[in-house]
Amino acid sequence: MSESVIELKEIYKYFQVNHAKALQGASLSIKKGMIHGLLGENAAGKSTMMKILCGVHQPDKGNIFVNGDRVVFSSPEDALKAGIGMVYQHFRLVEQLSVLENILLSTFEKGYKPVRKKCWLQKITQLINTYGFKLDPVVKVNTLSVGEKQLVEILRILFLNVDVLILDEPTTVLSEYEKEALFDVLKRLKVQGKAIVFISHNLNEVLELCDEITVFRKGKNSCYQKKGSFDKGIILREMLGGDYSHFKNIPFKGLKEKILEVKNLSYNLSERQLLKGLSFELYSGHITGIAGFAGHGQLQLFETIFSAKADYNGEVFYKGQDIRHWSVSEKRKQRMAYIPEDRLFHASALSIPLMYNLIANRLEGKPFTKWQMMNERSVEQKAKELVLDYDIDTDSVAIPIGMLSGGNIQKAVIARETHNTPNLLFIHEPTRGLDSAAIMFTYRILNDLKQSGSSLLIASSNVDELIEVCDEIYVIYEGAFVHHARKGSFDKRLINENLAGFFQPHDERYVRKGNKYEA
Amino acid sequence: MRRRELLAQRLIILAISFTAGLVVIWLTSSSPVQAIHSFLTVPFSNRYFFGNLLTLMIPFIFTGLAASISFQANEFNLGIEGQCYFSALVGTWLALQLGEVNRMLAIPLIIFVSAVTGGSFALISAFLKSKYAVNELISSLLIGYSLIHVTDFFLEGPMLDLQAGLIATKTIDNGLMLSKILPPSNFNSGFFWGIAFLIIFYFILRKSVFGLKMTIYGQNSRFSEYMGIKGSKVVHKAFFLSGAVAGMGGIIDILGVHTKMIRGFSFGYGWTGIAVALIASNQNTPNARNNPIWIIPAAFLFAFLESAASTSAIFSDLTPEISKIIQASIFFLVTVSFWKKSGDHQTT
Repeated sequence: MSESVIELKEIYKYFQVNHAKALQGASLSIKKGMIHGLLGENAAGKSTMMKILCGVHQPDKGNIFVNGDRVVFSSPEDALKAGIGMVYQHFRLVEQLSVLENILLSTFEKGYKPVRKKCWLQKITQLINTYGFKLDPVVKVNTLSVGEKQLVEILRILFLNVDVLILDEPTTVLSEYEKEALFDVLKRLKVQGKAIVFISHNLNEVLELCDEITVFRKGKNSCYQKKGSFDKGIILREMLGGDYSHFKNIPFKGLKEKILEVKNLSYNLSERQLLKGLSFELYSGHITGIAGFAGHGQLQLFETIFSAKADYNGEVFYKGQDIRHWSVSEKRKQRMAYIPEDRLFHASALSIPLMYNLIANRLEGKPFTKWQMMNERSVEQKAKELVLDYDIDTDSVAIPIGMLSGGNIQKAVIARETHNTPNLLFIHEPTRGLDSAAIMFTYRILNDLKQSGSSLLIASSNVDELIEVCDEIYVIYEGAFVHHARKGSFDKRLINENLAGFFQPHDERYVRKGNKYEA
Repeated sequence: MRRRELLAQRLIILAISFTAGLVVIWLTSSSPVQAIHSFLTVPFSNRYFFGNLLTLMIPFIFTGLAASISFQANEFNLGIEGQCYFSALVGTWLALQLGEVNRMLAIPLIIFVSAVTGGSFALISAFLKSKYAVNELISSLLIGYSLIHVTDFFLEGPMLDLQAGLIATKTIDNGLMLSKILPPSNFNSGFFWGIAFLIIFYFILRKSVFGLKMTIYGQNSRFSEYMGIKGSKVVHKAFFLSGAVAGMGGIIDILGVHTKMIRGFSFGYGWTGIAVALIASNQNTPNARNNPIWIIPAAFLFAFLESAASTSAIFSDLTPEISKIIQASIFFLVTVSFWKKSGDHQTT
């Protein structure tokens, strides 16, 4: 019987900025030597709850107890002193410094001095060995992979002697292999007596890893289950408040026309070959998938075809026309559309009102402009229509889009790109970071587009998703297609092996640059 | 909520800056109470002083508007001073060539030519940026400084009027001067030109398609490119308009007040304009759209400081530099944000 370390009771939190009742009487207890999974949709309140526990936010009402004593955390430092640390979804590391220096950075405030590095090095190496991490403390952070960076974050928190470790959606940025490694680490930490809170909206992950599960829904804890008596159905129902259904892959019945033809497309950036002779054809009513880990040329492929760059080798034909010298607005007028991977900084202008974000691709001519002036009334009317159609959760269309939650921003981007049924749509990671309801919603839209004859090209690192959705899959590795399969002959193992480059010699000149846009 | 915070922020900045000024007066003046009293009241005490205060607003309105046009696209035109000065020279030259003609046609023509001049020189920076990725901040600053020296060359050489007794051109024909209002002060119809352009640019910046494109480009240039908005076009237009408005400010000051191009007449107009635009802009607000109408109170404030310092120097032992001290503190504080936006920002 493990004792309760921390208890949060009847927490309320209201955010004035976006008038959100984030928490409405949520309670939670966290125990030593257990991994506690927090499940819930986006904006269900799980992140807010943890930020309150860490002292980032202060509750409007409700109490926090640590080992039975009531405490008030007015800053993250207070929480750290009480032994509570959080690993955030977005890393907070200084890329140019070494692992050691990054870990020491957070201790300066506690009075340590950066001198006598050797002594610290010894301590940290010892710590690394205790927990069995595979990390070299003297290498620079910018040479590490995403998974290793996450280990540094965890190590940094552990170095401060915390008993409670909170991880906010740690797996969204990781590949399948890195995820397994992380789970091993967490299980080891558990054995050593740490309490771990694992926030996620991926049900299978949580079922695999956690000892107990609390589901959050609309700012409250709606369900609690212990390992051994997990019931997937109940948990899903509690998360969604409705039924969960998969993508329905219905074949398109209309005439299949060739929409896009790409012949031997290559793109070089100085010495680096980012795209290596890609050839493919896209048809109406047909969904083509590109499977690949992040940074293997998917972004360059989309950008090369969609942006106004003309310096590529090879040919691209859209409905039979060479589009090398078309401008972006011309392409958009010819009903090409694109949903980039980075919805926040590429696909929207956060400080601009939602309604302008929703029509920013249609600033020429009627109905939104007249004599070079904006027709604000028709913009607002259209925006309100889209908010209803695409179920975007907002009080007003005049607030900056950055005030919406991530899921709602995604819906707004989808609304803008798909509401007038494009002939060709590029989508990069269609469901990353979305909760199940939003995923279902996205699939419904993809299916509607397919049925109305659009041609879709989807790049994703989620192979299960592609197999479910696509009629045809290409696997991309270091800028080249290394595998191709049609519906009916998809082989998940083969795709996964190709994805990881099992059959390819390593190309040293191909430096993966993460998701960064290379101009 | 945001708007109220913003107003409060401006008032706090003003309060701190004025306090700084008053402290300096207190320390330096032999009769501080009388000095402060005259500093605050003399500019409003009669028609002449008040008229001159309003006159000083005119160039500040134009240069402030010029700066805020470029700010809207998140571009920095730091050559306003030079554009304003050189355009005034070109306008003066044209006015001297025209002599006695129909003023209803000639004045708009002179202002138009000056505007095109100012706009063209600003456009150079925009071209350098879009063609060769030269930082617009540096190129406009350097081109602006060169323009000042080129202008001085013409004033001291080919266009110098030896009879004038100072470094200036010949006097422009009286028929081409803007009409005086509130004599004996210098207040003239240039003020209404300024207000008219503020209103025009209110609609351009806030209501037009181009204004929205500028805002979108200014907030996120990658997004604007992806939406099909050509960034280079936006930058070119924004710089041209900014330079054109700066140029108009210069020539209107000549036609309204100075009657001839005098060396150094515009010293500081460009920089004050940037301060005016910073005070009037609301870059810290979430929807990031500037309202040019705010330029009126901001220009009034700076005109008041300038004229209060110079007029009160007559009635007390203050030095005109007192206004520079207050302006400097405003400049220093204007980009401060007193309300940090962390804390209650929700990210899920």
